[in-house]
Amino acid sequence: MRLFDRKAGAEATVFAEAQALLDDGMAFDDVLDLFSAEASWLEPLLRTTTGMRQAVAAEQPSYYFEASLKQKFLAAARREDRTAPLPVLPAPSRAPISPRTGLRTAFAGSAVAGVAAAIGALTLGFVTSDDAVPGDWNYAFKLANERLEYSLSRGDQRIDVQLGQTEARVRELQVLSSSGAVSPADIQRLQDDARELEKLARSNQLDEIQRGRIEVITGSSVKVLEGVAQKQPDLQPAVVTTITTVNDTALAAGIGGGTTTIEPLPTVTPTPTATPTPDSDTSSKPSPEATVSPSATATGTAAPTGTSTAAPTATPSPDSDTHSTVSPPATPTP
Amino acid sequence: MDELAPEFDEYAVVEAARSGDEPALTRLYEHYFPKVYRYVASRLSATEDAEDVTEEIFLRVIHNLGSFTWRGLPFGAWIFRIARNEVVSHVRKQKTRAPAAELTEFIPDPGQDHTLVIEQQMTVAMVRAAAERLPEAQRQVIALRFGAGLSVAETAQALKKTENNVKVLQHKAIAKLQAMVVLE
Repeated sequence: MRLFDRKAGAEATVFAEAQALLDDGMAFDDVLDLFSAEASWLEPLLRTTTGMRQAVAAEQPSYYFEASLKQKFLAAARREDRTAPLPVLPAPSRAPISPRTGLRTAFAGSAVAGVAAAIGALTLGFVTSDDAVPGDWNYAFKLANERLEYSLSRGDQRIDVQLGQTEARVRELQVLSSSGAVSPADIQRLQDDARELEKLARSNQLDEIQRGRIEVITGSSVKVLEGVAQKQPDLQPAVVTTITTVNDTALAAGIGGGTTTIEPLPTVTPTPTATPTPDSDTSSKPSPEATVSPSATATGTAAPTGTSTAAPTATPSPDSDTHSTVSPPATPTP
Repeated sequence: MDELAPEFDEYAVVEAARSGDEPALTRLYEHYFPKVYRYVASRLSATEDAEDVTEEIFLRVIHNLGSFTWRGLPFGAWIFRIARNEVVSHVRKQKTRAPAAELTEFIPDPGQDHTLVIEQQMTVAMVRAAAERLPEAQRQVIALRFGAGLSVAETAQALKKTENNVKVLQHKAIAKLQAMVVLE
């Protein structure tokens, strides 16, 4: 018991009670009816807390963050489990050392130190590679570690390993995407891992947690890949293919795939027709102002200066009555 | 019965989680993650900071889970003490917060016609900005009560205060916040 426990003032008490009723789900107006005598000062306060609650509730954590932290949390729990304290062994008693023995010990010591340094460098590579992304010095260690982990795993454990690796690919893409540094190879890696996961999902019975993880991977992959396509439009074809693969994985796991707003690139048929408009004043030479309208499925505008990939091969006829049809070898870019 | 969530058998889940039971660890995480995240997000303005600190809290929880002992307090109070310490330590490290003038104890009585607008237009950024100008104790109470969604009793346990104390701090803080938002 506290000696100087202040009693809450009347208003603080009423406000706390009214707020508790709101917290329990009572309707706003019903709460005010209960405290009708205090409604004049109570209502603004309750409206403020309601507004705060709504504002804070709107601040949702990202789906990806929640899922990845859960994995880290569970992985940390497994590590904590493994690191039970070891029994302390008594230190061996030391005998006096002769000079010759000392020299040998020095050599042996430096050899051991050299080996230890090499092992240390390797270990450092492996230990620090968890958060590595493509381009980091230790990313190769991460991939090597993953390959080893995958080949050592069997059955259900292999699915978990593959899930972890696919999640890692999504995380890497997210990091790289923030700086617009995603390469086709990075997307390909996610696609390969998703395909491997799809195979495992088809040939194994997945449990609830595994299906949940695939759902998270699908949702976050689509979001991350859409971001990639937005920042680096040249990667759009690879993005679309990978989203399809990821959705196939989700279907193989018995859940719906993620939806994307990205549409596949249109297939352009290179059969544009050039319609030259001859200059009426200079009927003897081709007009440089000739407009060329390629009739491909994509809408391309051919530049009359001849710099366009569609326009240069069009040879406008000086004859104003003749409309030539040309088929340029170039593919107009929509 | 657990105070934080009646349907959540806290003692059983925590004990199973302490023995390494993965489904129990998952339940523990899923139960506390939204509350802890919202608490942190109501205190820190950058989403990245909120995510970093939330991660740090959960890793600390798992690291110290083995040493947790039941001392008459709910597990949630223990978690929110860790969360509070992490947030305070993060804010101290940042040292970017401009010294804000604390408001006086005067509680104005603004017109009621403004209040509906406040309720509808309040954003978390506004809440954070206004809360920044409150004294630390009031800010803590507001973040736990309306960020994490703890009750007065749970907030009191997490902050090692009495319930009366929490009620007083809550009332003063909300009155000031309401005045600030109306004035802005």
